[in-house]
Amino acid sequence: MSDSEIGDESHSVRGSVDRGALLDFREAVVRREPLATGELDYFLDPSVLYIHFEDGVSEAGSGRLDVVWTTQDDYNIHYTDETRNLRWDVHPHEYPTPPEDRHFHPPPDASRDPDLVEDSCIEVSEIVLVALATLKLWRTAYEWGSFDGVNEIVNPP
Amino acid sequence: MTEAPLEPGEDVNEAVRANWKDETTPFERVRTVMKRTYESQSADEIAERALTTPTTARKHLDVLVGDGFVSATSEPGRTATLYRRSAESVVMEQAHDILREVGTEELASRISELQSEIQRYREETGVDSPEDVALEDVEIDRGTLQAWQTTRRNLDIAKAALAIGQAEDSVETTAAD
Repeated sequence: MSDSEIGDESHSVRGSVDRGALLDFREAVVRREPLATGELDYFLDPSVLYIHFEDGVSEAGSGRLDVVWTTQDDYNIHYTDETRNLRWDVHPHEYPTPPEDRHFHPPPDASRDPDLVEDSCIEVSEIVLVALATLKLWRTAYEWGSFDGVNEIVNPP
Repeated sequence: MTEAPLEPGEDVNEAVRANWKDETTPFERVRTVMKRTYESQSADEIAERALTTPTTARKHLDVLVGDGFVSATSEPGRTATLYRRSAESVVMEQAHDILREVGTEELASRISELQSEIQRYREETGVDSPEDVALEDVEIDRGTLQAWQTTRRNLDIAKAALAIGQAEDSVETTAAD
């Protein structure tokens, strides 16, 4: 996990990292997105799936998703590029809001400030649907040239 | 195929559910849902997740049980049959994914690396297994414990892959005799 930007928070996901789930996530994304490729950090015993986007949002030249998915369906989906970090998570947490396990750490630095952590717009929970939702949000940010407001899906700027 | 960006006012969840439903059959969705269902659920719960009706889900679940992909159980006190992914089928799926990329000789040496990793966890904690951590009240951070559990699971799968690979080689050799 040393290359990952996920940091301490990854400790909060429950269960073992699910290699099969990471492969399912990769399959769902790369099948639909010509700009994306995916690799496990360690083939036999992965702790994270890297999805590389060969073009970036706005001024960024490229981008990467670090995906951790466990046998108990907790996850971290962390987007990173030269200028921003953000993350959609599902796992128990101690932030005052939102009340449910799913939450969002907003850009530019995937903040863990309790005042800034917000509700995640990703409500679906099947791996394939979460992967497609993440990809759709990335595509939307790619077209808009910004991640601002991407988690607030209903009223794009 | 390129993913379309969201239209103003479009909900990402509704959009991906609609895409999924358009591009797959109910059988494919039931199979996809069951692929990572490790804890038993009723056909009603599975139907909802697979965006289909309980009757349709049950029909496809019966096929998947017949194929060995899904295990069906009836628990005392519950009348409904419960379904989960069969453990055997998970192991075979992962073993074949590994064998597509790694030969048996290389796999054997990677397995000993994973075994050394497990040994390191044992030496660091002074206990034999992640379960003993709780029993013996060992001080260990959650991330390390999770990595240990993950490596043990993947080591067991890698050992199964090696055994399957060797057995397949052996069957092929004797067939040629």
